[in-house]
Amino acid sequence: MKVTTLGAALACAVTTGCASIVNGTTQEVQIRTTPPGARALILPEGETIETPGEVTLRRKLAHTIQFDLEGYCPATTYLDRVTSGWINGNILLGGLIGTAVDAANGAAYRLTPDPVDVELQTAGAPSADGRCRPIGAQ
Amino acid sequence: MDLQVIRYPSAPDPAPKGIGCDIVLLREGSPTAKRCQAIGDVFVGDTGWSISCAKDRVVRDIKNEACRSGADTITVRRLSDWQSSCYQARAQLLVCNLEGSKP
Repeated sequence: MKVTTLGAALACAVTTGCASIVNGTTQEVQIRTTPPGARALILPEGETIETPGEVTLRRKLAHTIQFDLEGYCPATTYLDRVTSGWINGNILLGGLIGTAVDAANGAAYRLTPDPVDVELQTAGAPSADGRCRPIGAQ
Repeated sequence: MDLQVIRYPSAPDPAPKGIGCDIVLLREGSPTAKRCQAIGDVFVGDTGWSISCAKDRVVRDIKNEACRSGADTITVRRLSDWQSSCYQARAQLLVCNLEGSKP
């Protein structure tokens, strides 16, 4: 066990980044809607899933998700990229190379929010310019 | 700084404008912004080595990107990231045709 810990510490400091080892360069994100069964288009990948579902996304990129479900207004939500706490492992162990590696491959980041929860609004009568208007909207 | 533009496939594709074009900055969720059409969004994040990442610089870069994308209006939301001193943001690129009317 001590050898493993030492090995990971050395790897963090010398060969690659702490976050790359612990965090990985991708993140599994759950996407849920109320009601379920919506089509979720994930950008910039262009991948489509039906909700609820899980996708593996690159941490290096920010993402936008567009939802469509018949009878409901289309919705858009964002999956933002913020700094992951694992990057601090490099600071503690003095791994400047590790920090650079983590930043370059995206392991230095985490995607938020996770899970993504979106409540779709029931479509009412469309507005004068043909846009979807939720029931109750003025 | 790491600037990423995401264009929406089903949105219109307006002609690009010159850098430094007039871009209206609206509050997110404002009634005017709700009447506009989103054509994409911009994410601005910290690379870990960013130095020129103050709010003014970030908003200027977003406006330039909006001009390139043919947008006329943006909304900007600051992203919360306690581990970075950079101003990180997500902006919506909007087409509102506000010329001649007050936003």
